[in-house]
Amino acid sequence: MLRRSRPWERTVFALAIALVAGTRPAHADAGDRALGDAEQLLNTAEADIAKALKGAVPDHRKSAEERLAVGELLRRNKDYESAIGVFNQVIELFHQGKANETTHADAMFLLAESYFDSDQLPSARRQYRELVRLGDRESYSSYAGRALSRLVDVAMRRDFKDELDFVFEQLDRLRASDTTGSLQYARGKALLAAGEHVKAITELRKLPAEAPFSFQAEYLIGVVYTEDVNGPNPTPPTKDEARSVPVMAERYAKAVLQFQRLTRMKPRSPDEQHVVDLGWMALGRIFYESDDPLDAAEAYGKVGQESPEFATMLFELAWVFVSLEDHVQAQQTLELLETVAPDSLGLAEGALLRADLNLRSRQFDEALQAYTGVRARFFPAFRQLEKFLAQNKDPAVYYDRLVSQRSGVRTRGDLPPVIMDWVREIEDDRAFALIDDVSRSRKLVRDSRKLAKTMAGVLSAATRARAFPELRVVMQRALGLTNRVTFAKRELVKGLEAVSPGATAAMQLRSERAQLRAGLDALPVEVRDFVNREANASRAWDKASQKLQSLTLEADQMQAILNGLRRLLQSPDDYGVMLNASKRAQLSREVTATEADLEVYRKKIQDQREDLERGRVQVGFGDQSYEQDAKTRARFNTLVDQEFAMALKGDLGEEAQLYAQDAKALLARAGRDQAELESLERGYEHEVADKSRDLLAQVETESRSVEDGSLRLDVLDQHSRELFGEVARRSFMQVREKLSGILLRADVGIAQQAWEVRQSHLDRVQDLQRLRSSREQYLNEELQEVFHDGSEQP
Amino acid sequence: MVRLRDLESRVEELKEQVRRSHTRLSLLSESVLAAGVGGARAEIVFRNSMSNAFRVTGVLVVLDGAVQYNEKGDEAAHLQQKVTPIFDGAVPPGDHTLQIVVSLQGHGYGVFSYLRGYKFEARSTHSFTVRQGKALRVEAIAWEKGTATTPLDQKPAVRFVEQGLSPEGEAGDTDTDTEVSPE
Repeated sequence: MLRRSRPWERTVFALAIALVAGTRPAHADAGDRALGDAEQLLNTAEADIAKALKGAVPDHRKSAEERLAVGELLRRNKDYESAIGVFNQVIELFHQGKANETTHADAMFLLAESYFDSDQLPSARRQYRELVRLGDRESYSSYAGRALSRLVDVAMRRDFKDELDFVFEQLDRLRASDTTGSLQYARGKALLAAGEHVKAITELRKLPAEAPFSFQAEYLIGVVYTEDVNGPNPTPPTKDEARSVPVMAERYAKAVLQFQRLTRMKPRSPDEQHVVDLGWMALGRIFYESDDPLDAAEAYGKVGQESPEFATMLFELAWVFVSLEDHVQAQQTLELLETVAPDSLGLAEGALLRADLNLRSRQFDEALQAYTGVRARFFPAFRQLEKFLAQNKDPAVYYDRLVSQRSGVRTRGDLPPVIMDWVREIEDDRAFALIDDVSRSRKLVRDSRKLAKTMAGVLSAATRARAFPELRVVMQRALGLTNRVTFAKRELVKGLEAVSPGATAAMQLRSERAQLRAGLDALPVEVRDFVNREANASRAWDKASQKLQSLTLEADQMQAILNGLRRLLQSPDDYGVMLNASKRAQLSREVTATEADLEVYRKKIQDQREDLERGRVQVGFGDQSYEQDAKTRARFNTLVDQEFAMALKGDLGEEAQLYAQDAKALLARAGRDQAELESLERGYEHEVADKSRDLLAQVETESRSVEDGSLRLDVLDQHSRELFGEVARRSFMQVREKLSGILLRADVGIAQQAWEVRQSHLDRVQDLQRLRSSREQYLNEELQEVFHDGSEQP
Repeated sequence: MVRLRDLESRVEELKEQVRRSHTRLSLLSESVLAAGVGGARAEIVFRNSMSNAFRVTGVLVVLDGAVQYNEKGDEAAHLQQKVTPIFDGAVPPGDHTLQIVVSLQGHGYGVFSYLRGYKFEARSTHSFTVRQGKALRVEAIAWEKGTATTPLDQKPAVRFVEQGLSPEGEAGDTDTDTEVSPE
């Protein structure tokens, strides 16, 4: 235990100081003050020792519930991958006993929804099934119906017939209904998917109007009626029903009336409003299909700007205007669409449609500009794809290209994103979903390796205490106290120096001690000192990281210039540049060489970025600056001890000897305090070492599991290459055909525009000729009349 | 189709295995690497600390290459208030670059009315880093550097102040002043 001075000791000490103060020389006062200051420092340090080394450390890690909120925000922002990561953390916390069942149920459903929304249907299916299995427990029951409805969606999207068997089986196992109506809704939806239309309608009609799924149920009934019209045995509408709808849409009378019924309902939430908008969209589509564009336009017009369907509605409405031959309105609608959702128009389709509309509206210059724009935009991609197809005969290459470009791995000769997007459109959804899953797994493996490597680095470094915040805090407090005790010793030695200013025997010691002053001043004592030191160290890393970022930007700029040069080399005439063959070849070689250099730079930047990230997490408590502190402190203590030893022996004069005797007890107390604090620190260090070993073992276990997964992934990847290589190649060839078609349409458009311009000139010439001939005729007639009048003159 | 379905389920199973390990590693990393959860947030504001000798006629702020604020004229927001919010939202964790151009005009009455003929421009670029799960406020301040004897055309400058806005309200939120002279 540390010895603390008792109150009477302090009083006696103070009185003694006061007694001798009047009889001693002036510099002795400085010594007394130093003794008082040192004692005060020691007293406060000792008082803090007991309370500083205990007390709860606030846990800044987010709770499962907080994570759930973060995940939901990410999901709403459509950042599905991050949301999936966070929801998985909540589920893992539940398995570790750090989350309750309600949170677990919420996380499971939101995770499943995130998988569903990001088209990871097998993963979504797994989660929904798990939720349904737990559906008879209270915390999970509210999600059972919704999960079953989603399983029906999965079954329909992926053509999983057996999934419906599972749904019906679970519906029989669970209660017949629930308060939200989700189970009845799920049953109705499953019956619809199974082709049991009548039963589906009966089941969906059972839902009360106030049930949360009543809007969805009404919409589904409309879908059933629509499907029924195109089925083998359509139910004809009654006369009343037929009379109630526009003549052209009589066939769809039941569906129209059902959707109209839905659109008359009063929505209570944005979700229900969305279902109503879908009802208007369905009506618009039915009327358009029934050659009733006016009613279609009216129905589409009911979809508001806030609706998620607004962009789709605008695109379909533009076609309605085209069918009405109202090209101006069609163009205006497309312009609006480009403003509200610039990426929603199919790149080429949208541009060509607008060009066609310009042409029909006789806006020839705009039309030509649009057609040539399409050509300029897609011709380089077409050339690049043709070259890629000509160079690669092995189907596996196509699969590898899809996987690598979807993983975000940049390589020289990457195909333009538009090609990859179209391959995706053409490719079988399931095949692509599988490729995506392989890519995601590879990314997870890469990220896991990086995490494991960084953590292993931290846990093996001198700064590993930062991995355990609760230990780091007490270690920092202990170190802060050690430094305060060191400052008390500094006060004591200052006093010694004050009472023996000219002691030559201590000159060398004092000179060395003076050199340590800056180091001593920088010793951290309070929490803010530690935080500031860490912030300063981090800032230095941030600066390095920002420099690296600016290099990345420079590399991107260089890439943009190279891309521009590539386009120029492909078709210099388009840019009005004259290049002979040899100059072109030379430039091409230079661009290729620079691209190779750029790739090397990017790799270097990436390596440095990784080094930097590893270095950044190793700054802080225990780093090099703390090692330097320890050396400074140790050396200072040695120098102080040596100086007091000399003083006690009388080497520094009589007054110094007297002072040293007075200070001896305080010096001993400081020594004991330091020893005790150092012993505590050693204990904590052992604890940190033990915990680090445990954590490293956990990291290694997970790393082994990741490596095992990576090996198995390689095997599966090989199977996928065999299975999808040829399919992928065909998809690339289809994209070439599509590009070729687009270029052809653009060329035809350009020719048509020229023809239309010529035709308009011809028309103008003909008009002028007609005008001239009519004027000539008029003049002739006038002349004839004059002649006639002249001949009649007497 | 059967082969595809089998492959699909094996890949999905494997993905889940890797994801579980990744999740455990990421949870461990939160304490080991002091990593946050979720995205990062940045709040950028423009503060006009110029004296009456100058009138800010235009402000252009570009964050990572995207224009966030470009206002000129008498109705501009920065003329109505001392502090103008420029950006407040989610940003990818990591390094970001903020560029600002402040257009100024001399402003004076009576014997100093000649100042109205002077036009100045202060440009500056600032890099900042936002960590995952953290929020940072960056204040771009248009101010006059130098002393009373500094020539007028050398006075306009832009400096930046960063302030951490971590939800935990940890001490040691950093304040970084970066002073950049106008071109």
